[in-house]
Amino acid sequence: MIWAAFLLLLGMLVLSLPVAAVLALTGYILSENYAFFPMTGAAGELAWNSSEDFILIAAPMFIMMGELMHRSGVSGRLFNALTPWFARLPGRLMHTNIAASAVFAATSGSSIATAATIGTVAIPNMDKGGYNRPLFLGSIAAGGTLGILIPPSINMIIYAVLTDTSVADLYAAGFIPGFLLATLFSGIVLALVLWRPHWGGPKVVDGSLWPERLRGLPHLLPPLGLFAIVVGSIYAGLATPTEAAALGLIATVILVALNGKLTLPVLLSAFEGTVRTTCMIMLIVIAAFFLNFVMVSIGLVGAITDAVLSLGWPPLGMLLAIVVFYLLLGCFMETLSMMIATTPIIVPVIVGLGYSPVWWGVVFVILIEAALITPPVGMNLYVVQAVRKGGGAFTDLFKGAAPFLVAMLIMISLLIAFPQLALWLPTIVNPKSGG
Amino acid sequence: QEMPATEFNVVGSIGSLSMYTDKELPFWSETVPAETGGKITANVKPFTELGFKGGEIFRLVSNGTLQIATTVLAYNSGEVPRNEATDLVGVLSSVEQLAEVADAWRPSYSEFLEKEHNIKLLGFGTYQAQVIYCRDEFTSLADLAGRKVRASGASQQAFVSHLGGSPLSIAFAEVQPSLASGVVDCAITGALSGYKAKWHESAKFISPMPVNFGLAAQLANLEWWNGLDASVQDYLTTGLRGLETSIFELAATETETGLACNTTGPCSEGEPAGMTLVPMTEADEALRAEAVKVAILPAFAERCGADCVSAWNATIGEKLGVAIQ
Amino acid sequence: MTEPLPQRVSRWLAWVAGAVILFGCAVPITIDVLARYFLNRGLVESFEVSGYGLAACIGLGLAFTVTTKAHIRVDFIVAKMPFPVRAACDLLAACALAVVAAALAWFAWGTVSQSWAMGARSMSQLQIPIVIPQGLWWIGLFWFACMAVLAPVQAVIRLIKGDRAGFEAAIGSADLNAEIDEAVHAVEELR
Ligand code: NA
Ligand code: NA
Repeated sequence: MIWAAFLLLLGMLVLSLPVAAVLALTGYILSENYAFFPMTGAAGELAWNSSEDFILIAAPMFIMMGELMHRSGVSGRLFNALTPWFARLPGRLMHTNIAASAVFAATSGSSIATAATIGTVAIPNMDKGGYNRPLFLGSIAAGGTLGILIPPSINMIIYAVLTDTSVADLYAAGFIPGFLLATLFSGIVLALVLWRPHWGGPKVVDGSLWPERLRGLPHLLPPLGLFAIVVGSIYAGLATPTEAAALGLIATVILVALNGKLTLPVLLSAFEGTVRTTCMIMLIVIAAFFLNFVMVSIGLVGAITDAVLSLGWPPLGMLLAIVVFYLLLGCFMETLSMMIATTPIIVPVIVGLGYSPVWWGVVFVILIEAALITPPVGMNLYVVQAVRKGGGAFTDLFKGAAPFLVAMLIMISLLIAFPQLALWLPTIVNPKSGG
Repeated sequence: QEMPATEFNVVGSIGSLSMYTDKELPFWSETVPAETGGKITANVKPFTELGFKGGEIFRLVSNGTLQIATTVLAYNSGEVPRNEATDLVGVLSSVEQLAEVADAWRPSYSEFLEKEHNIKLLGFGTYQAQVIYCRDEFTSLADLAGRKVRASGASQQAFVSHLGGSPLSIAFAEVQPSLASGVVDCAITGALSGYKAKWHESAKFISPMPVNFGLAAQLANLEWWNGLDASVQDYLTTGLRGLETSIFELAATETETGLACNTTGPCSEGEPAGMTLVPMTEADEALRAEAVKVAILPAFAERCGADCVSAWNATIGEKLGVAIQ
Repeated sequence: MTEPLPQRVSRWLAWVAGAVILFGCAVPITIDVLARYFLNRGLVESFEVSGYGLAACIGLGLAFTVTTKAHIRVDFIVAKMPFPVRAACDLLAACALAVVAAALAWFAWGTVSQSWAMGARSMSQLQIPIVIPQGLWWIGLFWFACMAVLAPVQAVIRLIKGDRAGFEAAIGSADLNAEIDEAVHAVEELR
């Protein structure tokens, strides 16, 4: 039964059927063959209930925020404001790429939006400075992935819905690893540039940078303000995580209006982008709920969990096997489908091994980040390649992303060695958290 | 007696709570196969694991997708007002009283479910009393005036409004952090489940008054049920009534344990939490009775209709000595 | 060239769906958060209303995902195949989506009609008849099914006429670059 399900999924994916259809059809075929009662009767109810799930409302609101931010000019000014701060650090603009991504990530729930936004403003500077192209592009692709680790995060929200964990806990858990990972990215850049100085762009400018640094500070305010609204309001007792996303969207609309960019064409094209992505995701979510229902009903999830646990490996060995499994799967699978399709199966195993689902949520998000920058299917690589107007070999991106993949693996090792990196902050901001 | 081999799916209640782990799961996975010599095989799964939210279970039993399922009846009080009849907010004072009232309601309700919804009622069950937890001090229910209270469904909200509080709707998954951060001042949940979820780390005051209970029912699809062999029907009917009794006993114990654990103990589940118990005063009783009379019963009567009201008066009303006009 | 009617209708519905997210979800939720803070109470039952808003957005917006080929396909192997194999896979993919969309509309109809038969109302103080939001959701799903069925039919007709480009445009694997170009373009026109 396990193999039948696996081959079915894999076969249809390789035939390039739409992911949502693959999940739904797998559910249907499993139900026809292994259930002693037809399960399709629940499809309508499951579809309606996932369509009106209050927690999921945050996803379209973050997507719309990204669509609007894209068009507001806020990100360009953020990038320019951060640039003088790294002007004396070997690797210069590459650090700016990472820092701007980290700051932007604090307002954006999506990695692709983060990479596209920062890439658009950063890449025109690449050849002016004479940087090593692969590394420069890699820093954008990898920096962009921070969008889902530093709160807010669409992926964390979906993970929370699928595993019944608290979004507030996950956000708090992602905060320290998020900025630590950004620091690791910068450290990798620094190390490489010290090793190969000619990769690091132009030499240091003369004169004091402080006037420029200070002048840029006000441009950090809009992103920080949005962060305060979208994340701060949760811990200040003003709003729940879902409500906070709504506040963020309204604030973004106001920001765009203040920038004089709020016109009907801008609004309509933001609507189109939002609806297109939201509905595509939600069809996958609906199909995944149906597949999950069938798999639990026919005992498949139980069988997989038992089979894996009965291997009798020590928890750490099992955990590492799962990490490797995701690194491989992440090369080929689109991350959202990967997340939705595997979470209901893997998380019971992880919890069975004695790990916290909140902690795993953070590790899992980093694995998703890795998937975003591993070829052949790596959305952030595609995005950065597309943003790169002058063209160039796609292999530049593989090469450039590789060092940052190493940083992600270091981060995962740190989390395994020191789970408190993720679990400490949730207990501070929310003392009752189960951890 | 020759019982034919019978296999079916059972959808249980919330997977993490004791009604499922201590009662339903052992009943279906151990007791039933043992007592029938393996003739009856039930595949039991909590609805939470199936990805359900609750409201779909009643409908799926009705349309035949599910064979036997446990559901909290209030999940569907919007479409089936009679589901709320035994568990109206503020009306009952103990699990024991709930059991009596449910028994009185059973015949007419059972007939109603068969006729209107293609459902066979096999038994009831209940969660522990749902009580109010607050962050800040209060000495009587009247003090809840002006506070933000997370309440679910029209009845709980009407009750909170009548007390002068502001009822708020918040997704269940977001209640706990909301109470911690102060998005809400008070929230309602089970006496023991609140303790287990460590609500006492942000809420310091608790009222023992049962707001309501969360009456559940074991339901079967009627057509499927009628197709079962008589010996299987007999066995399940008796067995599920036994399950009902043991669930009510569990709920009564847990209500007591929960209140004790949240306050000064003794507590079998861990350290006593030291919350302040705010006992009901005479004025509170009067306020509660008033709320029931003015806000709860008339609204229920309007939703439920004339037939339902007369059935209620003849059974539950008579037991309680209350009549809806 | 003006957009054909089915595509245009799907786009209009997507505008409506987007407006629902902004005005039917974000605005009511913001009002309730502010009211809770300043007036100490909720005002507009945003918790319930925004759930219906999301459902309406999903229903009404799904057709647009067909006409803009938004559905994710793992096509890095298929993309390397010669045209006949690729076309067969594209057609198979479009048909699979059509089957799923039609099934979704069918089962959703079962849910809507059961709500209608039971006279279901929401449990909140709004007491909204559930068939209103569910009906809106279902209309969208029905249109989604129509568009999903139309796409492969249209593509086959074009193929028979020898219009390869038209076939690719209807159901060929989504051109990722075009999609991202569009997003990038949106930024650049404002810089
Ligand atoms: Na983020
Ligand atoms: Na990848």
